[in-house]
Amino acid sequence: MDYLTLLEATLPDLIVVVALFAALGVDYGLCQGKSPHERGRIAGEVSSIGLLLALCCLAFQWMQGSVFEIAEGQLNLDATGLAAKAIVYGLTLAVIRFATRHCPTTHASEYHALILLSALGMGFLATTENLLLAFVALELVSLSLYALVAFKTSSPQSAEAGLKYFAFGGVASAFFVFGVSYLYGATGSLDIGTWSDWSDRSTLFALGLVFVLVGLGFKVAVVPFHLWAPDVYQSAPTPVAAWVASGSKVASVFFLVKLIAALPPGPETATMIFAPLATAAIFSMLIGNLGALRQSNLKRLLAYASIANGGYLLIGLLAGSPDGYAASIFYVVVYALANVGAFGVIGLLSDRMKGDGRLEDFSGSWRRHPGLSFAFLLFLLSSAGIPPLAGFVGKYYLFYSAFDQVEMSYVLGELLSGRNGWLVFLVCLALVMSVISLYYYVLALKAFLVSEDESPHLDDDEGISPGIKLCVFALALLVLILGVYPGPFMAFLQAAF
Amino acid sequence: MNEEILFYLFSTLMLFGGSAVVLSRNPVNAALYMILALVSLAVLFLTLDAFFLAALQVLVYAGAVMVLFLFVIMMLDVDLRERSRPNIMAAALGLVTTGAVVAILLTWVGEGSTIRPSVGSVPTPGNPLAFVTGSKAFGYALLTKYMLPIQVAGFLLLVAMVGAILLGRRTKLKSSEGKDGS
Amino acid sequence: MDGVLGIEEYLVVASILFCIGLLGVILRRNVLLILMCLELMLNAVNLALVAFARYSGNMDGVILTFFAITVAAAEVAIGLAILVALYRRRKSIFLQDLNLLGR
Repeated sequence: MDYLTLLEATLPDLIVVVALFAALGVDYGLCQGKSPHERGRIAGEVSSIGLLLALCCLAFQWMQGSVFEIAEGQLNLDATGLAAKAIVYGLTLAVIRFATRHCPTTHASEYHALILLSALGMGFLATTENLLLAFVALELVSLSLYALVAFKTSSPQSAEAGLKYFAFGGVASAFFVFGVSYLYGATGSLDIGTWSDWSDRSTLFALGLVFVLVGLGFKVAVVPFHLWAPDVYQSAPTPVAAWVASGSKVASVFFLVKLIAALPPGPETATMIFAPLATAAIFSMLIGNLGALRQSNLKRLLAYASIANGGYLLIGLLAGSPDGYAASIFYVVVYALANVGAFGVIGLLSDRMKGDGRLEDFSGSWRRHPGLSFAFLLFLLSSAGIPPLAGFVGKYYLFYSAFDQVEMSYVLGELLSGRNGWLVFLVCLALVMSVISLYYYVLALKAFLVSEDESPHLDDDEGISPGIKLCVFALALLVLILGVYPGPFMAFLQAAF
Repeated sequence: MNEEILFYLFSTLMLFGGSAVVLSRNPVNAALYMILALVSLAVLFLTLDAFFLAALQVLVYAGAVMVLFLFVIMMLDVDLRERSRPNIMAAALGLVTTGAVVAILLTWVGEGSTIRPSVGSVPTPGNPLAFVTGSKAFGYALLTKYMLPIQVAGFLLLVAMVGAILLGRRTKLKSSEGKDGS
Repeated sequence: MDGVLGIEEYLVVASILFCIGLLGVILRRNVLLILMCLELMLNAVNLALVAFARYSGNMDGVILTFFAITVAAAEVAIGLAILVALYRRRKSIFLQDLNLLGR
């Protein structure tokens, strides 16, 4: 391996690393006398500058048309890979902006450093095709997220949520690496790209694949492995909840799609994973949507909604076509944008009120923060799938890609048997569930719009810096643009498979 | 033949140690049984010709990780014995899962695997990462093909350090300025 | 290898150890023991990996074991730190006492 190529390929990541050490170093070296709030602001600025530089570097590499392939597919940085990295770092930038405003403890620089470290892991996870690097990157993401979830050591709930996340995550990563060992045994290689000679050890291969999917299913919060999600979203610091819901999900889905797309073709492969994945999708949609109906806490509500969204995006994987894979990625990116925005607004509004996110805490926000509330409206309606917004287009692509794979037949029995039947049933269920999800999204919005008290305009947008407003505005704009004009992005994704 | 005796002896010991960890009521006992299981595993590594890993296993797991466990047990210094019985549902679920995995594996063994031992493979220019026993091959692999993962693993350790310092330190309930160095 | 001891024996032992660990994670109520059982699971994986590497004749599996050991050590450090933080706030490390969430 050529070290110089490695250096060139990982230049954006190196910039992030430098930023992270700069944030720590500036804090320890120069800011000892300053107030915690000031130190948090400085650490946040340093991190943001680093991320912006990394994004510029990625754009530069992209424009040059660089294609890097490091050590037999350990990093596969073609246009899609660079875009994946850019998406992850872009989301990080938004999360860092939200995190800068309010640090849960006095250790502001470590807070930002941990977010950057997990972003680094996500960048590698999204672009690797090697199971070893995927494992190490996944663990880098997980460990920094455990620490971030439990970050607020002064709150008793926080450590409990951290422990819950850790216990589930630990089991999931053990399953992941156990599955990797079986895949390695069956194929004799850790590179996903070399899966061809596996059929004589198919039981081993299938078992390994299922175990690996368990490990990733935990990250995406698909049903049997979703139990951590509501507690973690509720008790983690709000920017961290946004980060768990967006960044780690996007990176895992990128890797998941790569894994499924690399499966050797053949009917055995399809039957091997189809039924387990389809069952997980069905139960995710059911439990996520029905669970969300009963929530009175906005963060828990979004957690259940995210479980349901995990179910939707599995449909694209089950369709098993390039269009389906592209649709899954499109959907998860759109979902992540809306979710970072929604959690960001919740954080901006509730951290001041000292509430923990109950719905009634937000009553009358419309009067006090019209701009933020309107952005929140856009984010939620996009997740609910209302037409001009990106969430609708994402769902449309997902369902269309699934229907595209259904072999049309005028005999009802043929239409509803086997794989066809699963796909038809999944799409119908997803449609019904989308309608149900409207109810709880509207319920959440109602809390924002209706106010009982006629209190005058309190501290309007005091303390919310222009940078944060710009960030919310940019996210809302992206959600709108991807909804109105999704063509180029979708075509770009489709070209990748 | 020796290898077989070693294998059966130490895999029995390892499984015994593992079961004892799950069943023992006192965490200190559990930690000691855990060390038994880990050292037995190191011996199994030896029967597989992975000498360097066997040494690492003893050093890192039995040496460092378990000491960390014992250290925390002593530090918490409370009665850590469990009071409640485990619930039946969880036990049943666990047993079913266990049974299923072992059953699937046994079917696979029954089918007859096609993996054959490759004895005496030697690294060649075409296949520089063939299985060899020495630690030199480790160094070669880590500095060539697995250069990037080793860097990422470095960040992993950084996360562990930062996280452990942050979470493990005593939170001051009354904020006192001055010695806020870490 | 004498030909008598095949990879199957190693795999079965590894799977049984993995399942023992999993059972422990599900059954035990003491967080310390749950952490130990997680370690058992990771060790079972290491055994399977080394066996596969030995029999398929390349170093990749052994290298992955090396990384798995590193990761496990880091995981223990974070896990124990969370445990200590939890104990400081709640004076208990038993799952039945952890009930602040979900309301």
